[in-house]
Amino acid sequence: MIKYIKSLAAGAILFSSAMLTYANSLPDATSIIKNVKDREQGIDRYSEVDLVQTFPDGFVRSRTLKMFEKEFGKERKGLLYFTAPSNTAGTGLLMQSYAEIDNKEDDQWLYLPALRKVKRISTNSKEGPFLGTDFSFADIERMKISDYQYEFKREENLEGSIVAVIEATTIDGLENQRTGYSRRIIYVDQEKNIILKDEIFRSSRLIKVFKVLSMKNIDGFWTVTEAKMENLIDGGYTQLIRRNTKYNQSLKDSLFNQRTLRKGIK
Amino acid sequence: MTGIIVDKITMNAFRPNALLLITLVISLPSMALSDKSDSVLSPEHFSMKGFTRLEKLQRIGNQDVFEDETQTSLGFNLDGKFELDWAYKDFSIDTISYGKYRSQYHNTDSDMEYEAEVREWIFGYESDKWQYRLGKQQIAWGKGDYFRIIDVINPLNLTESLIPYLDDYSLGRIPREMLVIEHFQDEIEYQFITALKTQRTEFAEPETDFSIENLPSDSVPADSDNLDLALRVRFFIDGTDIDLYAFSGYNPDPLFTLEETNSETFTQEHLEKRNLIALSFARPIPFGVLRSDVAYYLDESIQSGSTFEQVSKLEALIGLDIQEDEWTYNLQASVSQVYGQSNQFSSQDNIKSASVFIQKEWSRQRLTSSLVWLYSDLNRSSNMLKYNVKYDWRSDSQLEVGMIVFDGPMTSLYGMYDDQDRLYLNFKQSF
Repeated sequence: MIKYIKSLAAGAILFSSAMLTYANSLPDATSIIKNVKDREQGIDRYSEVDLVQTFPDGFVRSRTLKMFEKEFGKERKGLLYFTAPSNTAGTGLLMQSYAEIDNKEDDQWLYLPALRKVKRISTNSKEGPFLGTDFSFADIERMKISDYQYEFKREENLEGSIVAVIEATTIDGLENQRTGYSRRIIYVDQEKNIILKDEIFRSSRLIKVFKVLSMKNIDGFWTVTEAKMENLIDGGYTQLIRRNTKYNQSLKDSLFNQRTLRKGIK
Repeated sequence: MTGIIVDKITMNAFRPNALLLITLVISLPSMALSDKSDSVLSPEHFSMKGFTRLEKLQRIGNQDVFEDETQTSLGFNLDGKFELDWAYKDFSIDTISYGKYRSQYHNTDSDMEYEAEVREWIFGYESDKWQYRLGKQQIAWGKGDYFRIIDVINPLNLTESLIPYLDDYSLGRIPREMLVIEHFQDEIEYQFITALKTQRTEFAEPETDFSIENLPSDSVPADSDNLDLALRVRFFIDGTDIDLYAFSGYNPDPLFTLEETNSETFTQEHLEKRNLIALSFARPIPFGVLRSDVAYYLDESIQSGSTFEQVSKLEALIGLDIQEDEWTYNLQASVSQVYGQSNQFSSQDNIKSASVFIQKEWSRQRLTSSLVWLYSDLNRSSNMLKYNVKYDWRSDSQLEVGMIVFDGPMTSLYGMYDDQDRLYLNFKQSF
């Protein structure tokens, strides 16, 4: 009996050791996601973006905006300025995101031309639709590593690209209070450090699928030029088309303040 | 009388003024810093946009007070706005024109049948740290909605009560000729405003839907060649937006006294001084955004019977904005307290107001429904409620149906329009 137990113990040790070796050989999922977050994107960026939203009944709503982003040390500021359609033109959104270690929520200000006022908007719940599109506020802002814990699942070929498939889950399995998502299956192109596909779950139900449709190397930086967010709850989808992207344009610090929201981009 | 109000863009509006010149000369050296703000933007910019809107109105409730059907129907309105912006390098010209036709207006023969004007025209120049805007324009101060605790720069157009600016504040304010200079430092913004002429609040003509009882219509006008000076300092500390304000100028609400000369009695209009200091802030809290306006009017004049009194006044507002998925809630409460009044002061010295705004969106903002409720205890408790449903049937076309209801005693702020409850249906095309 003792001999049997010893054999069992030896077997268990060997098995654990083998598993440990296997686990150590697996890529670190958190590092992969961190690499995506910290991907080199220059000091500043400018793009013209079309948000084309197709409703389940075929109704199409299109919005055009100019997007400016700049790094300020560990902080990042972004400015979105809508130019079309005319009932949205002039609306502006200023976002300031902080280093994750600071544990500060992003600050956001919205300018509404009808009020002629810049309004501070709440940043606590980001799960609401961003301007009625299938993207939420959480989808468009800088990702927070600490929102989830990550597990490497496998490598696979996704439409010609080798991707790392990572499962992101909240620690308690419930919805993340900030994003409203409980689980994500993320497909990362590790060569370019870009998320090519993201399956988004709420309470074990697949609710949205994000997919990159095209990307381009611009000024030495890999840039997503077309992406799609499919809404599996309400139906329909939103395409994000990025045009005229330019990097390192020496955008002035003064561009990223409430003054620009009020006067508009001219 | 049918009136077409065409704005007179004349040099009269900006006749030489020493203060204006001094302000300009002080800030001129900064113009040397001029360059186009960002290389990604074209040096030349031209854009235009606008809307046209057709609206059908119908009275509801209390219809027995009207004599016939022509008074219960409100006909239709047709209005439109057109914005034109041009910029070259650091210089810009912005204009906003607005026109409105009303097919019927209760007890017509008023100026309200047609109106068309270049509401705003602004010549702008900006450098890295400075911005100058000269022309007819509007400035929005404070964090409050509906209640103008600090929003004192532009008077209001009250010819249709509060209706136009419940949805579009920019149409409720009366633009005025001003020089606005803004200076920007790292985390601080300064705004200096100089306005040379007092622009009066516009009230509805007597015998029209939203006329105010006992408001004199044939008074001797006061001299409006006054100077308003204003300063705002804005900064951002520890996640909180803080604005400080100072205003020294004139109250746009005219006051009246009964005067007698050579045995004739007449009503004299007065435009009186208004000086105030104020503070506002907005800050995110765990479930929304908390905001507040507090203003102390050092000098304010208030009508008291057939005369007026110089008083001081403290006004404060607190607001809470909550957004949860497809629901938006804005809650506000404000209080106004008058100090230094005489024993004969016949007006109410403490006024409380409140507002609730609730909006629900469906189908990714294609269908929205909102409710605005305003309350005031001025004279007696009264309230106003607006409920509407909007539907985007195309990307740039919108249908809206709604209802506006006033309730309260006839002497109260909203109750005086108790007979003006209405339904409306409008179609808006943006271009």
